[in-house]
Amino acid sequence: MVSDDAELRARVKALESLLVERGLIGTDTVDQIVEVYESEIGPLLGAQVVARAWVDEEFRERLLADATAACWELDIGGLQGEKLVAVENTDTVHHVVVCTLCSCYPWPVLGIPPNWYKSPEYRARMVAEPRRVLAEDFGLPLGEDVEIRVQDSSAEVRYFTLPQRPAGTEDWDEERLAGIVTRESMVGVAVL
Amino acid sequence: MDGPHDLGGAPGFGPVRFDPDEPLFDHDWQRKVFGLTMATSTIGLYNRDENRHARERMPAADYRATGYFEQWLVAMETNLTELGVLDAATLRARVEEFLAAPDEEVRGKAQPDLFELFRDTLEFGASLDRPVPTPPRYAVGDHVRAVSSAKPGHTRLPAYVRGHLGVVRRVDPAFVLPDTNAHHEGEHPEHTYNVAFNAHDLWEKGDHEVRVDVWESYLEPAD
Repeated sequence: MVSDDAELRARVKALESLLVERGLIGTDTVDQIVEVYESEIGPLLGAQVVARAWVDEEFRERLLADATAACWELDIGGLQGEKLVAVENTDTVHHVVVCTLCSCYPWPVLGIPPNWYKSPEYRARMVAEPRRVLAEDFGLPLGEDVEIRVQDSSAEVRYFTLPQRPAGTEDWDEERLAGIVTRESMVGVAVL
Repeated sequence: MDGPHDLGGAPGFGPVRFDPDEPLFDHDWQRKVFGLTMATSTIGLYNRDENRHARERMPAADYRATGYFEQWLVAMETNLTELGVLDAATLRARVEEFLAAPDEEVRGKAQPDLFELFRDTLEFGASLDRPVPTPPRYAVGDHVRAVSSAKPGHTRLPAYVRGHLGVVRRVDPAFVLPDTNAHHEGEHPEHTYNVAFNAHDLWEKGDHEVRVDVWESYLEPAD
């Protein structure tokens, strides 16, 4: 089943053309759907949520209590984000998210998952040796005094982390703050 | 079931190849596989659990040798032929035609209404939470044990917690049970729980905590 690209391209076209012939999808369907994920949905949305939580303490509390509802306040939610939970990183607790069984990920907040998140290496190792994976593969050495909590997204909840606000940003506005929030920081493989 | 997808703690894997600037798709065929999977799910040709289960049923060597989007492609081919939407021989014949004429494009009609349907799914989601008449069996702080049996068929209990003791950290709503939903045996919703396990118990090393989300029937009382 190791296939070269020519074979894979032909298999995909064959599937699409038969579904189009059966009238189940249109020739425009696939591109239209993918364009939504290429242009509208991505980690910039999650960055807005994080920045709002940093500047608005009441929003932060609502986010940690019910992330689904809090994100909807910013019009963020929907497919693969029907039940969201935000976990907060602090000086003493660091959360990191993985899906060992497949690739569950909070799409409305972070977009579709990157290759490294879906990779067998990440899925196999993050639950067993997170301290080492974070230090060696992501360049994030955490102190012995920081407790690591690995969240395996194995049911219907989709998780993202609320990273700590960096020092020196006290007088920044929400938009500028959103500009420094990375996808990696919201999965928990980076700090800001 | 035990399957090649159940990777938590699996030995022998090297470094994570982390690239913060990677593109959304490496190849155009992967982009198409993503769109086709979303399209066929949107029109309800199969459900999410069925889709996952088709990937999990891949022979282990094939699963490991294929990339992520090729696994998605295999799942579509498996489901669409098993469900009788497409005929396997017809599908293979069409693959040969495109192999012989690689520049040939897919032709046919557009269906703008279908995209509107997808837009609705995208905005409102496709939540699998369902009301159940029974209260949750467990409460926050309860000590529980993950069941040890590996049932045949689809399940969402990772092998690495089976038989281990944990503590309930959060009680979540009831959701459709993947174990039956994947096999067209009904939704049978159950409460779900966020359960914390101690890494040292699971792996005999490590000082971290692993939290796993599980359906109620995946748990039994600790004593």
